[in-house]
Amino acid sequence: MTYLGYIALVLAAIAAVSAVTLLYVRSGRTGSPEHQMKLPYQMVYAIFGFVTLACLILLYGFIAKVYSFDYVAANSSADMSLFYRISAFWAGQEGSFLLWLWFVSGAAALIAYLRSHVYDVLTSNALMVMSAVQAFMLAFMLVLGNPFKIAAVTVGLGINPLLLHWAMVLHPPTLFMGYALMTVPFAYALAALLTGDASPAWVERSQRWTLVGWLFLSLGIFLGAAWAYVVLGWGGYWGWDPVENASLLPWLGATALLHSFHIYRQRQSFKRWAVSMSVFAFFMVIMAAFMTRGGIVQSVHSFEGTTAILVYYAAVIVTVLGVTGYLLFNRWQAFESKHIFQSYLSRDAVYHINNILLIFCSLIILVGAFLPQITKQTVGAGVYSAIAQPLGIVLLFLISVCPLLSFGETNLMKFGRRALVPGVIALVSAVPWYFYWKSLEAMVKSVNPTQVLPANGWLGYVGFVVATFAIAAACQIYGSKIRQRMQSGEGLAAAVGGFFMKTPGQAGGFITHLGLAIVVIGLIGSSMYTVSLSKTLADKKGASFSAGKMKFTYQGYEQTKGTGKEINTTVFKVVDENGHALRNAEPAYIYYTVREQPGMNADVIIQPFRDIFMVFQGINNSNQLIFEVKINPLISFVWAGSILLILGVIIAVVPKRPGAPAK
Amino acid sequence: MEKRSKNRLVVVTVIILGLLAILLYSATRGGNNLSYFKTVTEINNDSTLIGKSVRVGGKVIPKTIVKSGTKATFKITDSKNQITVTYNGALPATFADNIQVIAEGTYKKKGLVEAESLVTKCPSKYENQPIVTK
Repeated sequence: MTYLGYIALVLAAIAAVSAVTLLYVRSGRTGSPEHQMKLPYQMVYAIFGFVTLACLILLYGFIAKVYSFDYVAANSSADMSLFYRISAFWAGQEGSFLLWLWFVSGAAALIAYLRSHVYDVLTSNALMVMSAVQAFMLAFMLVLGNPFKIAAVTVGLGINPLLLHWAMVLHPPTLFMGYALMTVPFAYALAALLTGDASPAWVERSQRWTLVGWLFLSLGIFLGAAWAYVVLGWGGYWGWDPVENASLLPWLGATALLHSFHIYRQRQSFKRWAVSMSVFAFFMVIMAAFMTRGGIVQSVHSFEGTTAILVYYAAVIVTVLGVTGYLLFNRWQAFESKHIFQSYLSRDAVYHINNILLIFCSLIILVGAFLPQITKQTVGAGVYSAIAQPLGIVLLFLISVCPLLSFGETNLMKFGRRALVPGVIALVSAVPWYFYWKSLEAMVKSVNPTQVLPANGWLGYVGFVVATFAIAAACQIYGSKIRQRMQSGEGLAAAVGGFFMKTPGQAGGFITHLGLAIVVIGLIGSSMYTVSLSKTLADKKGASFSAGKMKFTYQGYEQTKGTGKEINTTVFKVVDENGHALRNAEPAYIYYTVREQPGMNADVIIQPFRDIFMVFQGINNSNQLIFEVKINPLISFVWAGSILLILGVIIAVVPKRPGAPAK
Repeated sequence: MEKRSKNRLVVVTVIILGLLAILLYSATRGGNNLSYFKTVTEINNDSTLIGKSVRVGGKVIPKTIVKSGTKATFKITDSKNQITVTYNGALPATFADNIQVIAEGTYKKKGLVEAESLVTKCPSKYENQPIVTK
C-alpha cells in the first residue's frame, strides 16, 4: 500500500516535469496551434490525478487504520472517531504538505479546464509556473517529507488531545487552501513578465482567485484565534507567537496584493507594484511554511537534523527571487505606470502609503522570527504590540479616508463635503468614548489593583475615535451609493439590491472595511484592557472571592471520567457588580490519561461588551484550588467584526452573473 | 512617469520610511522588549546577565513543580545544567513534567529566573518531534 502512494507521487512528479517542459516549449511568447496545446493541458490534469490518488491512498490508511503507514501510526489511534481520524490527515507535517499540494494541483487543473476552450498564452505560461511549483513541492515530498514511509510499530500513537476541536480540525486545511491559491497570482504575474503583456489581462484572470485565497487566509487566522481562546485556557487569542505570526505574513502580503490589483485595473498604474506584490505574497507563503516547518519555530532547540530542509528552502527562495528579479528587470519599461501621484491628496497616494505600511509589518514579523537565529535576541510580544497598535490605527484611518478621496487629484471642497458627516460623528463620539475609556481603566484597577495600566492608553482612546470615523465613513459611502441609484429612478430595495448585485466588489469591500473597524475596537478593548486575577480557594463549599465588585462563590466540584480523560468540573455562583446573579461558571481541569497531559476547559460567560473568562488550574501543594478570572472587554467585537469582514469578501467573490464561470 | 509625480512619490516614501524608523526605534527601546535568548548552561555560566531580560528554554524536571498560592516554582534543564524558574500567573494548559517550556523574564540571581511569561511548545503535532538537545 505504502509503495503505491509513493509511486503515485513519483508519477505526479514526472507529469509535473513534462507539463513544465511541454508548456515551455509550446506556449512561449506567442503560443502554438490549438492541437499542440492539448497535451500540455492534459499533463496538468495528470498531476492533479496522481496527487489525488496519493491523497486517497493516505486517506484509506487513516480510515482503515493501516498502521504500517508511519504517518498514520504517528498521527492517529484506533480509539479516535472516523471524523477525527480523517482530520488526522493534516495533523502532521507530511500530510499537510500533501494536502497543500493537492489544493495547488486542483487549482491548476481547474484553471486549465476553465481556460481550455480558447488557449491563451498568458494562462499556458501561468500553468507552466504552477506546474513548476508543484514539481518543487513533489521533490520535497519524495526526498525529505515522504508521507508514505513504512512504520515499525503496529499501533497508532494518537493525536494531541488539545487538537481534537472543530476549529483546529478546520484551521490547517483553511490556511493551506489560502496558501495554495496564492500560487495563482504569482503564476500569472510571472506569465505577464514572461510574455511582456502589461495589460490588465493577467490581473483579471487572477484577481478572483486571490480574493478567495485571502478569504481562506482570513478564515484560517480567525479559526486559529478562536481555538486558542477556547481551548488553550490562557484567556487570549493572540500572543505574537511565531506560529501566529507566520499565519499573518501571507495575509499581509495578500492584502497589499489585492489593493494593488484594484488600482492596476482601475488606473493602469501600480503595475510594477502589482507584479512585485504577487511575488511578495507568494514569498510570504513560503516563509510562513518555513517558519512553521523549517525548524525556525522550534528555536528552543537547534537546526540539527533539518539542514536538508534548510537547504531546500534556501534553494526555493533563491529560485523565486532570482527568476522574478531577472524577469522584472527585463520588463521594467513595459510595466511602467502612467498615472501615479498627480497629487498628495489622492487615492493613489493612500494606496501607496498603505502598501508600504503592510510590507513594513510583514518585514518586521519576518525579521522578528529570524533574529533569534542571528543575534540570539528575541523579539518579545511587547515590541510587536508597540508597533502594531499605532500602525493599526493609522492603517484604519487611511482605509476610511481613502474612498473619500478621488483618483488623480482631489478637489478639496468635494473632499470636505464627503468627510464632513463622518468627521462630525467621530468628533462627537470622542466625548462618550472618553468616559468609556476611563471606565475601562477604572475597571482594570478595581479588579486587580496590581495590574499596570498600558502606558500608551491614549492610543486606545484615539483608536476608538478613529474606528468610529471609519464606521461612519463606510456607512456614508453606502448611503451615497444607494442615493445615486435612487436618483436614477430605482426604488430603495432595487437600489440596495443593485449596489450589491451589480458592484459586489465595492459593496463587499466596504463591508470588509466596516468589519475591520469593528475588529479594531475589539482589539483595543481586549488587548489593552484585559484584566486578570489569580486566586486560591480552599475546597470548601461557600468559599468565595471577588473581582472588583463581582463575586464568585464556590459550590463544589464533580469528577467524571471520559474515554482517556478525567474531568474535574468546579461550579461557581457568579454575581455581577449590580448584584445580578449570572449563570454558574463551571471551569474544568482535565487530565488526559493516555498522554499524561493536563488540559483546561475554561468557562466563558459571554456578555455583549465583555467576556468573563474563568479557568481552573488545578491544585497547589497546600491543597488549595487555583483559579484565574479574566475580564476581556469588547472581545465579542473581534469575533463579530471578523465575521463581517469575511462576509464582505464572500459578497465580493460571488460571481456577478449567477452560473457564470469564475474568472 | 513625469518628473513631479516621481518627486512626490519619493517625498512620501521617504517621509513614511522615516516615521516607521522612529516607530521601530521607540518600540525596541525599554526593558520588556528585546531579550537575550540563552540556554540554561549559558545563563549559569554568565553572571553578567544578572538583572537582565532573558529568555530561556528547557524541559521541566519531573516532580520539581511546586505551586504555592498562585505562584509556581519549578526547575528546567537543558540536559546538562538546571535552573529554577518562578512564575506568578496562569500556567499554560499543557504545562506539566517533562514539557519543553520557554520562560521569559528577569535573571534575578544565579540559578533563578523570575518569568513574566511562560510558553509551552505549541501542542501541534508539527513540533512534536523528538526533542534534540545539544
